[in-house]
Amino acid sequence: MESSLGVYVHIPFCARVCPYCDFAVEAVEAPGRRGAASGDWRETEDRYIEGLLAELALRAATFSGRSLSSIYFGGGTPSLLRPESLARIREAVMAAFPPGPARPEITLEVNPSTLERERLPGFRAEAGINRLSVGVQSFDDSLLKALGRAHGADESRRTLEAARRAGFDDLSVDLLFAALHQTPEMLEADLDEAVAFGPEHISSYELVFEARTPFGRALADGRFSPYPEEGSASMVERIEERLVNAGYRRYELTNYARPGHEAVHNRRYWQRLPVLGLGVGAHSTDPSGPGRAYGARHGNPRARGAWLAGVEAGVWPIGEEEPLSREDAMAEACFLALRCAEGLDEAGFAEEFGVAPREPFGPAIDRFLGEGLLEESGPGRLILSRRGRMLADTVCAEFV
Amino acid sequence: MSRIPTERIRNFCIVAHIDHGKSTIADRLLEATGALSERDQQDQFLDNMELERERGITIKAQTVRLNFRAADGEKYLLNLIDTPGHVDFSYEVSRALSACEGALLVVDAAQGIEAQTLANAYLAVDANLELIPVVNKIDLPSADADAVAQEIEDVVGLDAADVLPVSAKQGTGIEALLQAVVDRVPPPMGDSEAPTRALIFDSWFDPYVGVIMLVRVVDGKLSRRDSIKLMIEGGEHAITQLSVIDPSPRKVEELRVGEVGMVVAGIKTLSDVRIGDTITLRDNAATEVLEGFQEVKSMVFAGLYPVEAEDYEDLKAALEKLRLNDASFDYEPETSAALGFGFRCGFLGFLHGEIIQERLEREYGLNLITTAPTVRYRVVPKDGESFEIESPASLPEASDISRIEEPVIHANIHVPSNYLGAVIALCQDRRGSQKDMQVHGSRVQVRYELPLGEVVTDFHDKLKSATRGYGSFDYELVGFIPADLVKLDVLVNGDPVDALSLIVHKDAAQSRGSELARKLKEFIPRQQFPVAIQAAVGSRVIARTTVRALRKNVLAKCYGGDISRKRKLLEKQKAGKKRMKMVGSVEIPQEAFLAALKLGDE
Ligand SMILES: Nc1nc2c(ncn2[C@@H]2O[C@H](COP(=O)(O)OP(=O)(O)OP(=O)(O)O)[C@@H](O)[C@H]2O)c(=O)[nH]1
Ligand code: SF4
Ligand SMILES: [Mg+2]
Repeated sequence: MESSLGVYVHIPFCARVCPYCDFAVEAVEAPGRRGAASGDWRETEDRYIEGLLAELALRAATFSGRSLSSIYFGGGTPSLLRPESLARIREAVMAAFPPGPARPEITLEVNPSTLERERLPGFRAEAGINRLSVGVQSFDDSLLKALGRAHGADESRRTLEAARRAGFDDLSVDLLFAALHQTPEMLEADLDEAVAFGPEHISSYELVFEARTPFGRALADGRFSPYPEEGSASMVERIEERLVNAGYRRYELTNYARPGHEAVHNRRYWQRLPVLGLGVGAHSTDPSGPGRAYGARHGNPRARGAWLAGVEAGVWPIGEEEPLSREDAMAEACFLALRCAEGLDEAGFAEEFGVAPREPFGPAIDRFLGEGLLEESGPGRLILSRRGRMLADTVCAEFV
Repeated sequence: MSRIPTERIRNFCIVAHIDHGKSTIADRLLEATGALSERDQQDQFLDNMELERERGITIKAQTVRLNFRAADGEKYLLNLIDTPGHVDFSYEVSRALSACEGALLVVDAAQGIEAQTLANAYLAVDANLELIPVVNKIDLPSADADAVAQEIEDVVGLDAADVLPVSAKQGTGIEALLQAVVDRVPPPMGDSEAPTRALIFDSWFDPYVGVIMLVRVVDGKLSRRDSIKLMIEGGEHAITQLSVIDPSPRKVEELRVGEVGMVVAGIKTLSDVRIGDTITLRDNAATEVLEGFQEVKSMVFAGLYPVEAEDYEDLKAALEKLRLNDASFDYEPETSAALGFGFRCGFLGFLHGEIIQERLEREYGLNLITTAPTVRYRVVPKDGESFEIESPASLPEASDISRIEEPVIHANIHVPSNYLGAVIALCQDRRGSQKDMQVHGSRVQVRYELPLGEVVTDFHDKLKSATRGYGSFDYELVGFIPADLVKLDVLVNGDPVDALSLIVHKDAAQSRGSELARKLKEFIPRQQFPVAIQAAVGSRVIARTTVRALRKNVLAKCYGGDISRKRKLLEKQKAGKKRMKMVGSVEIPQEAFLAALKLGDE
């Protein structure tokens, strides 16, 4: 029986909020260039850390007995926090869920900036961070500017180099594509530079216009148009080709890694393993329990005030709660597995649910095999074909 | 409760053009007579169907009984029937009239007389009803009650001095209205001693008691223990319940001559009752049947198909039930290669069809696809007898046809003179020819001969928008005239979509065809392969377009909270797909079929 746990810690602060961002974030008067924090920020940070510790204490029991496999500090910009703050969280989490024999993966999302560069050694030595995910997005200054990012390409380069110098040997780079005025040539240059730098892991995301963001509104009233499908489709193909040639494996639709460097924490989501999410807007996947044979998903409130008020008063403020039904779980088991290179293991599915996937989904599976959107990568293992990866939603929709 | 003698019964209905305020007047009458407490009050109380409330119109006539103490100090029993104003539902008006001796003819003080005002006034006169002219909405700044009263005198021939001014909104003139009903509407005439005869003027199905018949007792009386006989259908049944509506149903022991009420007689089979039939008593039966209703003839036809093939039986059952409630539409089984098993339904008009479809979907939880509405054409083949078709699918090969005739109407359009130009342009665009024009002050009445097929879809909407809502029309069928008509077919990836075939005028085929192809392109989601859409007359392709193949769908990130969101999106996508029909290997959504209905909108 799998009894591991991943812990996601959401830090809802950014130096400024990007116009396409749909995360639970707020802009803060973060420490200035010289690293001197204003008193206000210091107080905000410390109070937030206390809140996280309180939430952990409140909720640890639900996950008790599990050994820690990963911590993920996401955001927002968690690297705005002082290494010692992260250390406090890490220590508390480790104390609540002692890791097993394997060293837990501890990821920190960082945005390229002077401040964060200076802190990198501290993040590693003091906070115990062993993996960095760097929000590069692009190496093109004009694109970064259009995206409203706070950094330029040089800043990214320096941050990546500094990370290596600080001894981080597990680096992930986020790259955006099909973004605004991005051309195939611009993408090519981004890929060139990323490959030349050679991070262990690359996440490749298409720019999505979320409804409740300024970009989303601009799209709605016609000030932006969506990226032409033909162009973005070619980009997906090109990215896969380029990165696979450079030795990366597309182990999930939006993620590439050198073998052995797949993200331990993020994989948990696709393998439907328990994750305890702490902080504003954080989501959790609860393990199955009495009356909840297939577990549940929880979302914390997205407003910091609401979240703080709860945890400080000693109650866990539930924002959303969704118990998963057997149908939900079967659907997720299928479409999440299909997003991954390993694909859907029919025997594993049958073991969990007592029916083979071909029982509920037989006609769809046959149809997609026939149309060449699904393939069998081995006996009893279904994966998306090359074309299937382009039309993943078409395929996945038949499994819900 | 003390008995009110027949001399103090008044049966009346409210008729008018659509939106002139019938239902709002009914509200005030209910209030003024204490039938409604403040607490129960809601606007257009009698419009109790969800659809009616949503659309703000009356679809079904509603009956309610009021008690009124008149100026002579006596208590009167008033039976009020609120009727719909839309031309599609005028059969409801005809039936209501048969249960009344009088009618309030309501005219909007700002709008004046409109097409349905006249049409309904004539119906009431034909039914020998006493007409009480009412000018409503006198509170409006644009109201001109005197001019409208004069118009009523000039056009309808009722004395302007008899017109009652009312504001249903403010409640003014309501007392006088009630008193006028007592004074001017004659009491029911029937013979209380004669063998019982009661006219069924409405009926519906109630899941608890079965068929409910709404009747008007013309002669004799009905008692709770009577056994009745349906004179035309021929069934015999024992009454189990008699009730009146004031305004909720209240059980009574008997319904006497002149009274209106509901009869339940344990009838479970819908087809056992026909609206317009006469109820008599099994023992001491009457011999002469009351005059029923003219059979309503469907004018507009469309195919109704369940989205899910397995809902066919449910659709059939629902149509049967609805048909009891609304004898004004008919249906017969039909099969389409694209849509499977369904029904060809006939309606009185386009709104009527829309409403039947919505009721089926709502009240019976069905999910339907409706094909483009069409009219009845007469086909004269090269050999053999001429015949009529109600579906483009039944049109023979062009080479076998000597000629096609289309139904033509006389449309009676009322419009303020400044919109006349727009109306003429619209009618000409619809292949109309002007027959007559009369000016009444600032309003004009024009008569056009128009092909019915050009009117059934969106003519009314177009007229309304061309005249800012001031134009109105009604029509009557005048006959069939030969026309240059062709069948326009639509093909997707070479497979004909029979459900989208249309019969159109030859000159319109090209533009309709392109428009249809364009619309379909808009509504057919991209699939894994390119989809060619063609419009063709016979074997000649007149328009073509292609839906490009889907290259990729979103590959967004999927962590933590994204998963539930993603699952729900996929579920929605799948649900959307369920509503699609396969034609060959192409998935066509319901909206594509609906888009065909709206053809000519832009
Ligand atoms: N200002 C004003 N508005 C009124 C008056 N009477 C009715 N209305 C409004 O006119 C609109 C139509 O009223 P209804 O009572 O639904 O009209 P109707 O004749 O029953 O309409 P159909 O049943 O659909 O033919 C509503 O918005 C009413 O509020 C009135 O005396 N004054
Ligand atoms: S840096 Fe990241 S989390 Fe912060 S606002 Fe921009 S996109 Fe959102
Ligand atoms: Mg009404």
